[in-house]
Amino acid sequence: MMEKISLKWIIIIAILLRLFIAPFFYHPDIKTYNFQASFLKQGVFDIYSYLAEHKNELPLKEEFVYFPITYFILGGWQFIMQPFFGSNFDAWLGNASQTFLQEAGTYRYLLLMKLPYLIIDLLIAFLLVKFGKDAIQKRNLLLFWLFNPLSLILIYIYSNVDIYPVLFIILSILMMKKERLLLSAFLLGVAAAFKAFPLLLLPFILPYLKNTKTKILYSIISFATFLLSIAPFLPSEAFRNATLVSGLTTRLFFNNIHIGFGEYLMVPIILLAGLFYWNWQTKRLDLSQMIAVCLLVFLIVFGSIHYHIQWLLWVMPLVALVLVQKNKLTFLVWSVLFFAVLIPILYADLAVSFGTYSAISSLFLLLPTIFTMVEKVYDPYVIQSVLHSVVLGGSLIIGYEALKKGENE
Amino acid sequence: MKYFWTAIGLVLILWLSGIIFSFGVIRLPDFVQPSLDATVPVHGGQRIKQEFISQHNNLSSIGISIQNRWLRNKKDIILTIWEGTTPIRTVTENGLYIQDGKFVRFDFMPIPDSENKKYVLEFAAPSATEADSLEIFLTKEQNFSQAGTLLVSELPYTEYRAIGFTSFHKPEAKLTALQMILSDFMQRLGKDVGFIIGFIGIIAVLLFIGKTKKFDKYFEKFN
Repeated sequence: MMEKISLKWIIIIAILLRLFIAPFFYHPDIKTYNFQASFLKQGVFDIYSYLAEHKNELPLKEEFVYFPITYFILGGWQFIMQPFFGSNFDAWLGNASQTFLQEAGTYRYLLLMKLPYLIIDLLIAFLLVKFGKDAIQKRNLLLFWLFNPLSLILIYIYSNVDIYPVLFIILSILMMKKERLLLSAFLLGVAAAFKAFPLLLLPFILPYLKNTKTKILYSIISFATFLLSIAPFLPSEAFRNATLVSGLTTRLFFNNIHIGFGEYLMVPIILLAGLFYWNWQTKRLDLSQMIAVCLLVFLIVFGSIHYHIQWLLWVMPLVALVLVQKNKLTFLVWSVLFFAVLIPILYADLAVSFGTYSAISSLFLLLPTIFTMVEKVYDPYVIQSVLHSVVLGGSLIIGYEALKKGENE
Repeated sequence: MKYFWTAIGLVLILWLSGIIFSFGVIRLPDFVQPSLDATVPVHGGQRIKQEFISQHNNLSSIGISIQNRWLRNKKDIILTIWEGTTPIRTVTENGLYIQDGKFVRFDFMPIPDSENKKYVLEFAAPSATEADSLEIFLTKEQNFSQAGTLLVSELPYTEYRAIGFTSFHKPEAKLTALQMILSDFMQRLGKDVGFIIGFIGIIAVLLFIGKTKKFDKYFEKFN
C-alpha cells in the first residue's frame, strides 16, 4: 500500500502528524531554555554571566547548561520570528507561576518554538535518504525516520535541543561517505559545539580513517572547531560552572565498582574502552560497521548511566541506518528502545509523563507520577534497575549482531 | 508500512490517552493559588491558622507552597482542619519529601457537606526549631475572597492577606474532570483565534500542495 502513496503525500502526512502533537504537548525544558535565549534580543552576549549575576531578580533561576551556539541559534530564531511570537511572548516565558499555560498564545508559542525542530527533522529525513543504496532502501529510511513513534515523541513532546547535534552528526557521517573527511571532521566539531556528546564518537571514528595523518588531522579539526565555538566564553567562570561539568560527563564516572585503596572500576568506561580496543584492532571497517559502532557507543552510555529521555534521540538516525542494512534486528532494537523509554517514564518526575498534557489542561498536573503509582505495588527503583540492566544487555547484543559481517536478513 | 500506521496510531493514542487519564483526576481545584509574596516560619509553638470558606462539597485537599531552605527540614508538618472547636481532619507531611518552594498537597478523606462552610486550617511543626523550620508562603492579594483571618501564634497577622493556599474537592460525577479538561482545552484554544486560523491555514496549504502538481519537483529531492 505504501508503494501507492506518493512521496509527496508521505511527507505531507508526516508533517500533519507533527502538527497534531507539537502545539499541544509540553515539557518544561523548552520554556526554560527559550526564556534564557530570549535575552539575546536584549543584547546579552554572555548569557552565563548574565544569569549568574541576575539570579535573584529573574523569575526562572536555572543556569543555561548548553554551549553558546545553542543560545545564539535559539535567540536568533526568536528574533527572526518576533512578529509571529507577538509582544506577550517574553512575559509568557518569564511567568514562573503555574498559570502560564492558561495564557492566550500558549499553543502558538509551542508550535513556533518547535518549528525549527520540524525543519531539521525533515532535513534529517532528506539526509538519511542519501545513505540508501537503492530506491527500496531510500524509501525505507524515509518511512522509518518520518514515522517511527519514538522520534515523534522525543522531538515534538520532549523537544530538547539534541536534534541540532544529531543533524550535524548525520551530516558528518554523510560527508565521510562522500570521502570529504575534512568537512566531516568540521561538522562533527559543529555538532559538539551544541552539546558535547558527539565527541564521544571521535575515538570510534578514527579507525575508519585511512592513515595516521588523516586520523590526526580529523581529530584536530573536530576538536579545534569545538574549542573555537566555546573559546570566547572559557574565561567566564559562570560558563565553566554551567556547561563543562555536564550531566553526561559526571554520570559516566558514577557507575563504578570499588576495588579498594580509593580506586574504582567505571562500568561505562570499561565497556567503551573494550569497544575502542576492539574497534582499533579490527581491520579497516566499512562505513556501515562504523555506524553500528557509533550506535553501540550511545547504547552503552544509555545502558550504564542515568539519562534523560531526550537523549534517546541521539541513536534514532543511527538505528535507521543499521536497520536498513540488518532488518532482522528490528525486534531486538525496538524492544531495547521500548525498555529504554520506560526507565525515564518511571522517574519521580511528572513532567516526563502526565505533565506533558498540561498544555491541554492543568488538571493533568494533579495526577501522581508513575513512580508514585508503582511505589504502591513494588519498589520502582528495583524495576528501573532491572530495565536498565536489560537495556545494557540488549545493547551489547545489538552491537554484536550489527557488527557481524553478513547479508541483510 | 508498519511505521506509517504506528505513527498514526500513536497520535490517536496520545489524544485518546488524555481522555483515559482524566479519570485519574480525582481531585479538582476550587480556585487558582494566589500570588506568593512572602513566607512565615512554622516551628515549635508557632502555629499558623487560616480561616476559609469551602467552595464545594467533598473538600478533600489543601495545597500550599512551602519553603524548605537548603532542604534542612526533615521533620513533620501537621495540617489540622477545625470546624468550630472540633478538629475534623489531620494530615502529616514530612520535610524530608518537601523540596524548596514546592507545592505540597495535604490530602484527606473528603468532607461530604463542606460547601459554604467555614473552616480553620492550622499548620504546626512542633518538632521543628527556628533553625530548621519550614516556611509557608503567604499572599498579599486583597481580592482573595475565599480566605478569612490569618493568625500567627494566635495573633492576627495583617501584614499579608492570607496563606497562599488552594483547596480541592472530589467531584461527585466521574465525568466532571473530563468535562473540565475539555472545557479548559477549548477555552485555551479560544483565547488565540490567530492560532486557530493559522493552524487550519497550514493544514489547508498542505492539502492544497498535496492535490496540485506544482510543487512535486521539491519533494523529488527526498528520492
